[in-house]
Amino acid sequence: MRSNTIRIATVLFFLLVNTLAVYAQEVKFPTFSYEGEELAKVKEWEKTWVGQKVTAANLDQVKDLLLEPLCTIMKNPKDFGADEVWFEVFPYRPYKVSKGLIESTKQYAPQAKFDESKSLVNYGSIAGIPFPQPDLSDPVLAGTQMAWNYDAYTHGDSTYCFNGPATIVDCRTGLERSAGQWRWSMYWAGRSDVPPKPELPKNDRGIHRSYFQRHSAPPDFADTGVLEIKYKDTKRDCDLWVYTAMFRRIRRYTTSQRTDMIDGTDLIYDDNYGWYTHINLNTYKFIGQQDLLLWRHQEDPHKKLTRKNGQGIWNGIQRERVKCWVIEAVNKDPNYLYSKRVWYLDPENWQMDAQIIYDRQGKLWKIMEWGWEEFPGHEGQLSTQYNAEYYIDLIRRHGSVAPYSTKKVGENFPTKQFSIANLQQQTY
Amino acid sequence: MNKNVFLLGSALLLVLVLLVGEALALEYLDGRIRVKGRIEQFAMWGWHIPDQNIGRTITENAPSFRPESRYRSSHLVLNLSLAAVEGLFKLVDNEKLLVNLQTYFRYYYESSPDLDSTVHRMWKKDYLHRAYQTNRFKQDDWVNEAFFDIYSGPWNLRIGKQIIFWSEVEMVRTVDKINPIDMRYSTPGIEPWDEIKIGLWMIRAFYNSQLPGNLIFETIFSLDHQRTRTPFEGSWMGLGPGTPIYANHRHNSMGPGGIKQTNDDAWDDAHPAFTWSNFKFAFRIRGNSEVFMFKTPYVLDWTLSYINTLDDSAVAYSDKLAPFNGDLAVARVGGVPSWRLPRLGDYGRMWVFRRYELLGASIQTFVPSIKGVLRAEWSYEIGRPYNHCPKGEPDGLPEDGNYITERDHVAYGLTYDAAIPMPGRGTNWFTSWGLRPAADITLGLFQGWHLGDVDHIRQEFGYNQRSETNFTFMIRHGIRHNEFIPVIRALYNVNNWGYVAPVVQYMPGKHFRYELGCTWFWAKNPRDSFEATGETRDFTYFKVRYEF
Repeated sequence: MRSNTIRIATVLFFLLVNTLAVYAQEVKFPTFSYEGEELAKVKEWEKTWVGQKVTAANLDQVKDLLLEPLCTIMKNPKDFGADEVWFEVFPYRPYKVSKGLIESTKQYAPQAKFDESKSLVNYGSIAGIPFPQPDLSDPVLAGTQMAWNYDAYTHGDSTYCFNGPATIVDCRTGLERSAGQWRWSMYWAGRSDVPPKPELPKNDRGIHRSYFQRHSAPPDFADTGVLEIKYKDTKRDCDLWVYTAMFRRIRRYTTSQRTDMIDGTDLIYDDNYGWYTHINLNTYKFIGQQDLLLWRHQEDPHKKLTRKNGQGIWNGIQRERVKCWVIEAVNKDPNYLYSKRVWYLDPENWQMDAQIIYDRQGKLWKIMEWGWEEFPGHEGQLSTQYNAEYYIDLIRRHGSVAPYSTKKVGENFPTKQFSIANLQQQTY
Repeated sequence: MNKNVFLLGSALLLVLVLLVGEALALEYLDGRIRVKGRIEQFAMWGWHIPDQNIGRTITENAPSFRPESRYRSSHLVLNLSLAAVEGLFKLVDNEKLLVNLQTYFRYYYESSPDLDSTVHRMWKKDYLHRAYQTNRFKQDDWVNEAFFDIYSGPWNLRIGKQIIFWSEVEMVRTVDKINPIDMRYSTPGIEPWDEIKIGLWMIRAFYNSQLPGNLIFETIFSLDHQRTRTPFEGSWMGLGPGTPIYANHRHNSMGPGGIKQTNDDAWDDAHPAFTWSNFKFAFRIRGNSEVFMFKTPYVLDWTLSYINTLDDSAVAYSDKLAPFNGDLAVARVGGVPSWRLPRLGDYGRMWVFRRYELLGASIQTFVPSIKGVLRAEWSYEIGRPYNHCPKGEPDGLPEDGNYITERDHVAYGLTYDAAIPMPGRGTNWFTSWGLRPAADITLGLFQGWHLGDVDHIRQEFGYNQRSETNFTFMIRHGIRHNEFIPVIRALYNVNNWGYVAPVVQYMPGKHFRYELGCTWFWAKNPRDSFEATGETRDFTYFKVRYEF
C-alpha cells in the first residue's frame, strides 16, 4: 500500500513538473497592461477621473501619472505659446492585437535569439514579437529585447496615410510654417498580418521596409517626393532618393548623417516614429515599468485636438492609463547628437507611446508623443495607426504638431509604388 | 513713374493683400485639381557701375562702345516682378489609364529700365518690351510648360511644352542639354533651372520595363528649336551698348549701335522654322542596379543617353558676316540717330544652326565609406559646330573657304555630397539657436577637352584653350529650425576666374520667403569664359516671394 502511494506520488510529481515546464515554454501574447486586482484598482481610479479635464489647476493630483516634461509644459503654457494646456482622461482600453501578430509571435518567438552583438538572428525572416516575455533578470538584455520587440511590430504590415496639415511652430515668436505629406510604407520582411508572410517572395535585395512620401506643403516643397529603403542587413545604411520638385530632379541622398534635422522640424531622421532605423545602433537598458497617462486612443484628431496660433502642443489629447515599459537607449556613436533617449513602450503591442530625449550635456531637450487609433486592415484585423503627434523642443521652445488621416492598412501595395520611377509619376 | 509699372505694382499689391492670411486650400475634388504658384519680386543692386569696358567681348573693346557709367544712373540693375501658377488636372484616373494635364504659366516684367531714365532713353520701347522687359520674346513664352501626361500600364506619354532635367550634378551642365537656357536676367545658382530653361514643344515617351535593373526607356522627339538667350545689350549681365546709345535697327529708323541686338536679329533670321529639318531626338535608358564591391553593396542609379539636335548657338558664314560687320562698324562710327543700319537681307545667309550629337552617361550612388553620395556625369559631343579660322587669327577668314568646321568635345563632372556634422551640436547653446546639427556640402570637379586642334576654331571665349577645369563648392546650413538658411556657392576655374555667391534665405511663415545674397566675380582674363565677363558685374540681390 505504502509503496503504491509512493509510486503514485512520484508519477504525479513528474506530471506536475512536466506540466509546469510546458507552461513555461508557452508563449504568452499579448500581455495586457492591467489584469485582475490591478485592473480593478485602475477601474476604481477611473470612476473619479474619466471625463475630467486636466489643466494646470488640477495637474498635481495626477502628476505621478504624467511625464515630467509634460508637467513642465502644462505649468508654463505661455512658454509654449498657449494660454492653457489641457487634456482629458479616458478609460483604459486594451488593444485588440491582430490574429496575425499573435500567431506570428507564437510561431517565431521560441526561435528568437541574439547573436554576439545582440542583433536578432534571422531578422526579417521571422515575424511577430520576438521576446514577448523579456528576461528582466538582466536590465541590458531586457532593454535590448524590448527594443527589438518595438522594431518587430509592423502596424498591419502596410499603411497609406496623410500626415497633415502639420505645423512647425516657434512658440516664442508665434511664427508657424506648414507641412504635409502623403505617406506609403510597407514591410517586405518580418510581416505578420498580410500574406505572403513573413516575407515577400521576390525580395532579392533583402529589403525590410520601404517608405514613400509626397509632400503637399509647404508650397515650395509641394510635390517633392521621398523614397527610403531599409534593409534586413542591419549593418547596411538605408537608401534614400529625393525628387525635388523645385529642381525637377531625382537625386540620391546620404542617410549616414541621420542626426540631421528634418526640414526645420523638431525631428532628426532617427526620430521619425520614435526610432526609424536599425535597432542595433543603440545600447539599451531596462529602467522599469511606469504607470502613465498616455495617448493610446484618440478620436477624430482633426476635430478633437485644438490649439491656438503659436502653440506647439495639442489641447484635448485623450489620455488613458497604461503600465508601460521604460527603457533607456544610448547610441553607440560617442559623438551622437543625444546623450540618451528614454522610450515608453506599450506593453500590449510594443509600440512607442512617448519618448524623452536629453542633449549631450545631459539636459532634458525634447519630448515627443504619438496619438493612436485602431484601424482595420487585412481581413478586418486591427492594428494601431498614428493619428496625431507632437514634438516639443523644451530648450528652444519650439514645436511640431500634426494630425494624421489613415487611408489604407494591410494592403499589398504594388512594389512599383516604391520605385524611383514612381517618384516622378506620383509628383509633379 | 511709368504707368505700366504703377499698374503692375498696384495689381501685385492687391493680390498680396488678398492672399495674406490663412493658407489657401489648393487641392480640389479630392486632389483631382492641384494648384500652386507664387508672386515674386527680384531686385539686383550693382555694386559699382563700370566707367570703362573691361574686355567684355572682342567687339566691345572698341572705343565706340560706351562705358556703363555713360548710360546707367541707378544701381538698381534688375527689378523683376514675376507671377507663376502651376496646375495639375487629373482628367482621367482609372485602373487602366491616368491622364493629367500639367501646366506652368508665368508672367514677368523687368522694370529697372523704367526706373532709370538714362537706361530707358537708351532703349527703344517696343524692342525693349518685346525682347527684354516682358515675356514676349516668343509668342508662347508665358507658357513655361503645358503638357498632357498619360500613363497606361508600363507606358508614359507626355505631349506638350516641357522642360527636361537630365542632369545629376549641379552648377555646370554636362549632359543636361535638351532645353536651351535663358540667361537674360540671372545666372544658374541663383535662379532654379526651371526658371532658366526654355520650354520646348515635344513628345516624350517612357517605357518602364521589368528587365533586370528596372530599366526605364525614354525617348524625346521635338520639332521645336530655340536658341540660347544671352543677356540683353545694355542690361546688367549683358554687353554695353554701342554708339549712339539707342538701338532700334529692327525698325531701321534710328541710328547705329546695338551690335548685340543686331546679331540677335541675325540669329533670329537664321532660326529654323518649325520644320522637320530641325528635329531634336533624344534617347535615354535609366537603370537601377545593385553591385558588390569589396563585399559592400552599392545601389547604382545610372543613365545612358543620346541626343541628336541642332546647336542652341549659331555659327557664321564668315564671308557674309565680315562685310556686314564692317558696314555695321561704319554705321556705328557715324553715330547719327537717323543713320540707317545695314539691312540683314542684303548680305545673304550669315548664320546657321548646325546639328551635333551627344553621348552621355551618369551614375550616382551612396558610398558608405565616405558617408556621402558620389555623382558622375560624362558627355561626348560629336561634331560640335565651330567657326573655322586661320591659326592665331580668331577673326580671320580661312583661306580654304570652309567657314564652318566641327570638333568633338568630351567632358565630365564629378560631385561629392555629404552632410557634415557640426561641432557643438547637441549642446545647450547650439540647441538654443535651433542650429541644424549638420551642414550639407557639395564639392565638384568639372573638366572638358576639345579634341582635334584648337587654334583653327574661333571661340568668342577661351580661344586656343584645349581644356577647361572648374571646381565648385556649396555649403548649406540652417538656423532657428531652418527659418534662416545660409548658403554659399563658389566656382573656381583654373584660369583664375570664378565667383562666390553667399545667400541667406528667410522663411518666417507659411507663405512668405525672403532671400538676400550677393555674387562676387573675379577674372584674370575676362576673355577666358562668358562667366568671366561678369568680373565687373558684382551685385547684391533681394527676393521676396509669396508661395501658395
